[in-house]
Amino acid sequence: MNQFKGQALSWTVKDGVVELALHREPCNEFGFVALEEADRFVDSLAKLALEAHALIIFSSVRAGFSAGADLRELYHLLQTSERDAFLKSVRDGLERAHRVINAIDDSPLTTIAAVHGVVFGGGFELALGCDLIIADRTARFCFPELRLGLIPGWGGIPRLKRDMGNALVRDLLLTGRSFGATKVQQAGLVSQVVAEGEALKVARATAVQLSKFDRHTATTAKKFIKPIPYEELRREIDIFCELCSRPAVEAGLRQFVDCRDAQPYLP
Amino acid sequence: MGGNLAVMKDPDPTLEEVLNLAALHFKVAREKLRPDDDFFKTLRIDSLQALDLLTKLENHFHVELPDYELQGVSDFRTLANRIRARL
Repeated sequence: MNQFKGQALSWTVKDGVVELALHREPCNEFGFVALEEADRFVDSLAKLALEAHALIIFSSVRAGFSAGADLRELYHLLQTSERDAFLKSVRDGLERAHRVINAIDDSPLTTIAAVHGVVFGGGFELALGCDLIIADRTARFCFPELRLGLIPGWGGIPRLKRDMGNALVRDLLLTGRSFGATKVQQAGLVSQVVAEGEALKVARATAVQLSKFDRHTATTAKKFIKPIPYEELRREIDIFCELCSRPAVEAGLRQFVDCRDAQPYLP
Repeated sequence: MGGNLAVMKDPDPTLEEVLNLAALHFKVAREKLRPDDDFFKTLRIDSLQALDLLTKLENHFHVELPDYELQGVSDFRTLANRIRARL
């Protein structure tokens, strides 16, 4: 399918570039519907890749690229399911998210995440699945999972370890603080930092540059440069599921969902 | 001779810059912002917008402001003190 308009995301192909737009208010939280639509996208990706050379993922939502998993939906699931059914749903959701991000990571297309604002949790993990991250100056990157008694579960740790120095990985994960775009560029993750609102435009210009090169060569180089840490990714799912059965997770989710003060996104 | 001399407090340039930036970024009249105001209430912002302000402050002052340092900080004066501690 060359184009699709869903509730949470849409895609089109134009001039050899696949553009995947995230548009679920308030901040592209990934719940069941968004994951299902993302699954549909990766099902189409192989065919789309035949007539394209690049994929750009961006958000048309003001608050940012994505705040990650839909924690309210997850909390509701926890409250309304038997324990074993809840844990099975969690594992199924993780495996689905991994399938999506692994497919993007492994795509023959050169992939670009054009990000702004909030790039948290699963949103950060989606960006890490791309070859290049272009961030505007409003972007903030964060893994807040420890606040919920969890670790990143969508491939964040193995991909951070692949792409970044371990000291910075520890800082991000163990403090749960957010990093601005410039710091993440200094860490080597962000390829270009641009003015507010300009990330998509710069991503499109980058895609034009990518179109100049032989596809087979680019795809071969990408596979050589960027191994996908499949074993660690599977281990991450197991660890996440072990942690998810602990009471700290329910307490963390409840605190997030019940929070009425102005600071649920501050650590 | 006599009369009281008003004690002039040295203006705090960091605090002034913070107030000016906040006014500009959130399109609020500068006169409406006072150093000890709760910025969440005065600016009517949520935590996502507060992160936005944090980014602007980091870029303006060329400092890094760990967001956990802002826990419990809700007035401009304390925010300016945190920034000054990193200059």
